[in-house]
Amino acid sequence: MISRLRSNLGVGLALAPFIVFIVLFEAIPIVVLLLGSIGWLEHPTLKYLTAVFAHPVYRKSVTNTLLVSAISAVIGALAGTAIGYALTATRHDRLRGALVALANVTANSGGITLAFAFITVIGVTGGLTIALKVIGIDLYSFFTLYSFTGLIVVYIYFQVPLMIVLTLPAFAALRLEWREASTSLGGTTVDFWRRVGIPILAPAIVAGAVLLFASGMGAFATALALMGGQANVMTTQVSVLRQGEVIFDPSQADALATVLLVFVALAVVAYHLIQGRTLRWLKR
Amino acid sequence: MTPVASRSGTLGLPDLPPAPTERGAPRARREIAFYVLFLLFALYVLVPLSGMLLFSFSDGWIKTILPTHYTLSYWASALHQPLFIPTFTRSLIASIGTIALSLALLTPTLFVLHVSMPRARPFVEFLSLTPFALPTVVLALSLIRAYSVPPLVLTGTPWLLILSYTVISLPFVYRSIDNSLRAIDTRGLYEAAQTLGASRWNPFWKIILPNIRRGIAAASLLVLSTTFGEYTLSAFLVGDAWKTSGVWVYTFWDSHPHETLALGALSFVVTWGASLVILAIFGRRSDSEVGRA
Repeated sequence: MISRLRSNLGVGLALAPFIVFIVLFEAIPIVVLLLGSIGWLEHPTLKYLTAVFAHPVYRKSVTNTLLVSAISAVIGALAGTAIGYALTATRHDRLRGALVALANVTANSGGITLAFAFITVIGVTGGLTIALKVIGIDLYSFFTLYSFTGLIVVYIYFQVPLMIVLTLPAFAALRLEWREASTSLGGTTVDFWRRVGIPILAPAIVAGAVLLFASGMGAFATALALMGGQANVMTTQVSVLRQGEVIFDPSQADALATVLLVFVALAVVAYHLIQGRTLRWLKR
Repeated sequence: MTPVASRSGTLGLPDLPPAPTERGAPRARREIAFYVLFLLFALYVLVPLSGMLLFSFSDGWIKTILPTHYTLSYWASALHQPLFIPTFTRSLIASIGTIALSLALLTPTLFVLHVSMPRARPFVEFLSLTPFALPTVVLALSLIRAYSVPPLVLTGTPWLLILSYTVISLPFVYRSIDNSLRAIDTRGLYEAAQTLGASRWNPFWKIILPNIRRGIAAASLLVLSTTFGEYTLSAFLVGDAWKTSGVWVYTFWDSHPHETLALGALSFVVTWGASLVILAIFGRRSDSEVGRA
């Protein structure tokens, strides 16, 4: 029965479309991109890849990307963890349900619409900006949305919910018995968190932060809508090089995209390594 | 934020009630701290959206805390734009095409994996979840490189857009379908059907598919919410050749901000509506069913 199916060609045929799809639309294109970054399509050179780190504008875009993603990931991870914990620990079940729903919905948001929404609220003529001015606070004397600070403010919007969604299972896995065991051995709340809670949750939290970092590095539409070409991050720089009327340099765009891909790949590898430690606790 | 509350001295106490760990004042103070966190979170999430909605209905919001005049004219004007119907239709076509393709790719694959080769599952899982972290700009560029030259020229066609949307949808579809197949003991059902003399694929259509329809619904809505109004892949891969709502709304902003916000709000309503329907379907069962990558 089962063996009949296994031995049958049907198995191979059922898996074939998926594998073919991955090869055609993920593997081959990425290989072509990597080849493009070393100019292999014209004649091989490393000048595009070295330019990513040598050319002042591209190098700046790399450091900007790393900085903005790191800061927003750390803020998003801390806030998301705090809220995730509060959601696990609160006694208010209906509130928990509503907020988890809200987190699920907003973790999928992002893009240009979100940027526009922020512009209407805390842009130069945004509603909140005006409201603050009416009560005597000039927001734009110390803040502007059209900057890296603004970018971080908007990234956090989808990173906090994403962090909540990512860490809720880890919080749910913190066993009550452990807490009780700790207490019955004479431990205080602080003891519990320092010796048990934090060590168990740390991998999940760090892994979540790493994934937020990766998502921040890849964000494009939000940055474009907020700052246009002014946002010198890797994704917008790629777009300028690929679609720009002023500079058109597809090979350089490929090289920047390749470096970006390598960064993200490293983050994903780190995520899996750290996450492996959490899984031990999530499986009974 | 956690107040220090010692509860030592409970040694030997028999079964405690499950939820609360501390009682009295510290516990109450902790709940208040939670509510403050919840309020801040809800404000951060809801204020930009309500701002967008309010702005799309308002006229003359320049010097006051709230708008002085409200109007429906921007919504009317937005919905009467000649490009509204074509671009939103294209976005819907792209989303529906993506739902069909991603389900057709993953559902039979996962069925076979569950039934007869569970050991290959981590491999397919890895391939399906990886696109979650793949920057869309990188995906766009690599697809342009690969499919803008012969033998296969796909750039500028809706096909490439749907194919690229399918790549970014794989993580969501994989999670939903895999969770559902796991929840119904696919292998057991399949073996039972085989014992009763069913053919190879008959159980898939007659038993498995009807039983995972909630997973299929969740997957579809997740795909709709991530692809409808998407900007990056649209702009790079098809651009003006097959203008979708995301690309159109972006170019519309400079000249017609109010109308753009009305359209943005409309996209958000579609996305949120889809997500809330998923939660209504799955909220009662488990959060992991709706889970992301």
